[in-house]
Amino acid sequence: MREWILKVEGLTKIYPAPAQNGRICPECLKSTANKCVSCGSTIAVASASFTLYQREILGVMGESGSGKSILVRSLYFDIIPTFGEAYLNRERKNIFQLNSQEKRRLKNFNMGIAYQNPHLGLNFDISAGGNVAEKLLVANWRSHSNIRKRLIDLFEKTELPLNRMDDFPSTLSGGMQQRIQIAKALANNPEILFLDEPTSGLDLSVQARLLDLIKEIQQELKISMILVSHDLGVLRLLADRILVMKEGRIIESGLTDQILEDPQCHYTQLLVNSML
Amino acid sequence: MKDIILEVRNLSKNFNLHLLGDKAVVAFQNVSFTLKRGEFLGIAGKSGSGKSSLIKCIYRTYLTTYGEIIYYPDNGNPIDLASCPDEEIIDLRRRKIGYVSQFFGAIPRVSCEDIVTQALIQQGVNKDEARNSAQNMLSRLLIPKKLFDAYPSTFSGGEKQRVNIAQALVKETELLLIDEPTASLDKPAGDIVLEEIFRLKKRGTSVIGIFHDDKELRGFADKILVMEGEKGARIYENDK
Ligand SMILES: Nc1ncnc2c1ncn2[C@@H]1O[C@H](COP(=O)(O)OP(=O)(O)OP(=O)(O)O)[C@@H](O)[C@H]1O
Ligand SMILES: [Mg+2]
Ligand SMILES: [Zn+2]
Repeated sequence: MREWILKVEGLTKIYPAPAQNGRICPECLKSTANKCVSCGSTIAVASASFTLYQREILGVMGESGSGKSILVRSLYFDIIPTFGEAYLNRERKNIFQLNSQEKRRLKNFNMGIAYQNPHLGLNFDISAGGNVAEKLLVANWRSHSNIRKRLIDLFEKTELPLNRMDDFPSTLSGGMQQRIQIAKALANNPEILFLDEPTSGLDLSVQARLLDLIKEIQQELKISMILVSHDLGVLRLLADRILVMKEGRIIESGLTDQILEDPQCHYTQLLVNSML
Repeated sequence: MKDIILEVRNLSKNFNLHLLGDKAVVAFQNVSFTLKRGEFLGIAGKSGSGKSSLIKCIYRTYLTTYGEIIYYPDNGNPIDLASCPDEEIIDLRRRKIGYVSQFFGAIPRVSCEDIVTQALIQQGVNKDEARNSAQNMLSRLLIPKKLFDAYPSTFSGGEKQRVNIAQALVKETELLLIDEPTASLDKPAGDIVLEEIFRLKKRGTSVIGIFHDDKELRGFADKILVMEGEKGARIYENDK
């Protein structure tokens, strides 16, 4: 069987209610909804455990507010989880306990991310090419001509027109902005790519080409991906397996065709039925 | 190597339809049979008797409610397809178990040649060889060359089904599950599909197939399993 690349155990993120002065209460952990009945804290992700295997696309579906983004952004160290462990590549150390320098190294070399909102992923004050080059610079690329070559390579891989390299992100279409995020994410050959609603807000034909691109990247570069989407059509096309989230919890998981054809939970049956 | 490839024990599948007030639907109940290596098991039964559901349980498109599906790979330990991890199923689907579904959900914007090629690449075949075999298989199933780079979503029902069949048959898996492969095909195309299935069987593939045409079924099945929904299933040898 294939080896795993990322193992997540008990990942929990709770946002304490204002009156709680940054603390959670004992009832928070017993809560079954995404608001603690006792103190009103928001339980964004509750004890999520799952494994990402090599070269697979793991889909995460669920309605907005179900904790999908918090989950991946915790794994990219954007958000500090309240509890939980995550292990990378069979290493024994919980990555949430690494120091900030070690975390930065993982972000630079092992992981890439494309955010739902391009403003989170791109610096709008520098050019498209500059955004991607930044990621190369932190990985100690120094030679100007090598950087240029790599940029061309990444632009071609993500089907970005080379003549837009010096343009600012704000002058590019939504689809191109997503491609730049992906080019940037791929810059240092990561093992894991996080894609948070990569196609939402794009019109259908742009969406379709982006999905093709993701599939091609996965097949060619053999990267493992976590793909967050509330769009079952997107997941059907790309995901090998799906995790279904509701109110911060993973309520079921399975092979993509199984989740779509034989969903077990009430909520998943509702989602699948409303798609058909 | 064990001479049995699959052992299905007391298998049942129920659906719990939460949206209909937790209505329970029994697809089939208490089905047992064994399949020898290289054997052809035909599945018969009325519409709604659970034939497709049985095949989908073996392929994990449906979760099994009760029972075991013990698969004996040509190398390695037996695996219960009803309860093993999803990852193991993904692996088996790539290399060992092929499936032709009753209805083909075409993937948008992937050409039919690519669909078939992809099936082989996932098995570890190199690109050129995969493309070559894919083209051969499509040609054998009478898909005209000019359609190779077209998208099956624009194909006729029969053409779609032949692409669906091609991507399963091209892999030469150990076990092949087929659900009414010839239903939407005319006689010449149907005959060719049957020939291809037979070619695989000769090479050692074990087959479980649903055929709505009784004559077809009796013509080549080694054993026939008659599904009767809630009442279980009967199996008998087919003396051809
Ligand atoms: N995904 C599903 N969800 C709910 N019920 C289902 C599902 N799939 C099948 N069933 C039910 O299970 C029973 C068996 O269906 P199945 O499709 O296995 O029959 P079949 O023998 O293949 O019929 P046919 O000859 O018409 O193809 C039917 O009552 C059907 O409505
Ligand atoms: Mg059927
Ligand atoms: Zn609380």
